[in-house]
Amino acid sequence: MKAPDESAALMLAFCAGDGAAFDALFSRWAAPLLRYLQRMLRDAAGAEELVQEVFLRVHGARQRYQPEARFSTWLYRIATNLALNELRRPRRREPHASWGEPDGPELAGEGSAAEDALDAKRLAARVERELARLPERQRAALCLSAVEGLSYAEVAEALEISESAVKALVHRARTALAVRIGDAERKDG
Amino acid sequence: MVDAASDCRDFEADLSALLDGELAPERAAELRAHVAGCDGCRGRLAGLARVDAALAGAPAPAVPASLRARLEARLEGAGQADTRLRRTRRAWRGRAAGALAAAATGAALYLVVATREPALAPAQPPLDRASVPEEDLGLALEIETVEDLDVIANLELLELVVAAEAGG
Repeated sequence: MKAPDESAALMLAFCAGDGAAFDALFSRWAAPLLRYLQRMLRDAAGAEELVQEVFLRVHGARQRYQPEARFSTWLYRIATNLALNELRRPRRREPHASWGEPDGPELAGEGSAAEDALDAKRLAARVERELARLPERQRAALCLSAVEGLSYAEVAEALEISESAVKALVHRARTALAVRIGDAERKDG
Repeated sequence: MVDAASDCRDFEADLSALLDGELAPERAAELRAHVAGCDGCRGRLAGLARVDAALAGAPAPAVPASLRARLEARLEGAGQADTRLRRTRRAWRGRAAGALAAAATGAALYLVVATREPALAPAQPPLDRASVPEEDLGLALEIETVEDLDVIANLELLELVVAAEAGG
């Protein structure tokens, strides 16, 4: 078995009664979890609620935690299960139509740096919008792999599917986004 | 012979895995060699990489300070609920243990009566079922409440009374 990772070591310290280790885990993982859950739910407030839920479960697991997988894999499995459950709730409110729109005023100026920044911002917003339209498992697989840095084996564990299924999901998701972005850009001229 | 189009189809499914560093070294080298000589696959790979750049380029959301505070409040609430649950469980376990002990006592008394009955039988006149209310005869067999246990505890005395009445 691989040596426990740094976060797993923190979790073990927390299990042994070190409360500061839990604080360190929160500081390390709250932002990536929030990013992942915002992309899964397309709802900032709902994502914050689920981040709390994830850490409540981490806290509650202190008497039975075993570092059998990387800590991040375990954490994202909890987050993914919570997100998928939330998405399947029958009376879940729909995300706002503006989800993925860029925040704030557009950058002014005609300089190439400003234009590049504006293009990057537009592209990011477009990708977020298209990401939100993907089936939930494709979205989860792509986010975990391309953004959160999990290997296919770790994504497979987090999503409780096979590695070959992860490979197919990630490829389908990435290809769909690339095609849709290309189409939109051609339409914009 | 494999034509260029089917070559591309063979490689296309692995383009994402190439970006993710998930291919075996030999397969990755094969794919890179193909991409280097194929405009179509090079364009597709660039399109996929652009998606990643856009996803990774989005700033990570700031974690509101209130989120930590809300988590603390929920952890505290969960801790209190846990304590209440543990107390309730202890109380119920205590009651269950008491009831179990009472039931065991009752059952033991019943067994004593049941096993002693044949030995007593020759010295006593047989019970006349007709003279004993049906509910009294079946009493010891149905334990539904704690009060039933008191009845079972006095079963021997009740039977002696019934036997004496029957004997006149």
